[in-house]
Amino acid sequence: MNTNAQIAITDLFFALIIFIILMTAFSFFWTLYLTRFNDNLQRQELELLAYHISDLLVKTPGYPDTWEQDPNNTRILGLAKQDRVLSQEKISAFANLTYNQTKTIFNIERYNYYLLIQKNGTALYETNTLPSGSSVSVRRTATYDNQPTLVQFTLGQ
Amino acid sequence: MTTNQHWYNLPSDNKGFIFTLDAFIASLIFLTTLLFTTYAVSQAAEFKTTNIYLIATASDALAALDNTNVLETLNATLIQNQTITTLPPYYGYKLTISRSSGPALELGEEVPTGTFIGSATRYFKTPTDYGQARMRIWLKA
Repeated sequence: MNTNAQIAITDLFFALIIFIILMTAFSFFWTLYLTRFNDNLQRQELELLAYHISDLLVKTPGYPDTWEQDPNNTRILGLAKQDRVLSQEKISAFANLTYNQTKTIFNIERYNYYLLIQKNGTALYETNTLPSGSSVSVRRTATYDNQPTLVQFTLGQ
Repeated sequence: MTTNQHWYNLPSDNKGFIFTLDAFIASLIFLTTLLFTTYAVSQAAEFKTTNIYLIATASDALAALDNTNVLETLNATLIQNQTITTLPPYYGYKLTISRSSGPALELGEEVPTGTFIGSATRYFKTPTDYGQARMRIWLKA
């Protein structure tokens, strides 16, 4: 009696089991790392956007330089009259813009943000909206009225 | 007996197992490499973002000291008090101020090893000369 076929089937059976185990493990880890990678990517995008916006706010006067005189034609929002020295006029003009207007100028329509400008524990400006879900927060320090002032920008869904 | 003879005499009966073992080892190496590279990439990406924040925070702290005219006083207590209120509590710092003439000033803690140090430098003017301030900050363990 020839048993060659049985041996081949046993071999195939073991090979299949190993293959299925490996494929399941591979699929599991692939999905796991893909999810982590996407989360990481999204978080990095948020971090870079938040950092970039906070940098523009505390370091630049915006564009045009005197956008606070005509806020409806603002191209870039900036709150500084010089590097990391905040301007009272620009903060007031920023406060007069609607939340959606500022989101459009920041080019972050798909996100929500929270901005707090605080001097000696007193809020000079604070948005009403707080992002829900995953968010990133950037703390910057600038000067206002010759005092160190905290500028906190939070960006999220 | 015939069956046993066939089992032992077949020259290529267990080649399949060798190939399976080969595939198993190859898959194991592939998976290990994949896991390691994914971990390394995620770690590297995380590291870079933290670095940017540390450098920006050091630069902000120096700019605040300069813009509030505290830096030019060269008063260790004033500078230290403002730095402590400006920096988040989970950051350690070392501030070195040197002048074109006169003694240097060192404030803060010892710089640790084995962790990323964010550094920023700012040149400033005092009533009599000019100076250089270097802020090094790191995340406390």
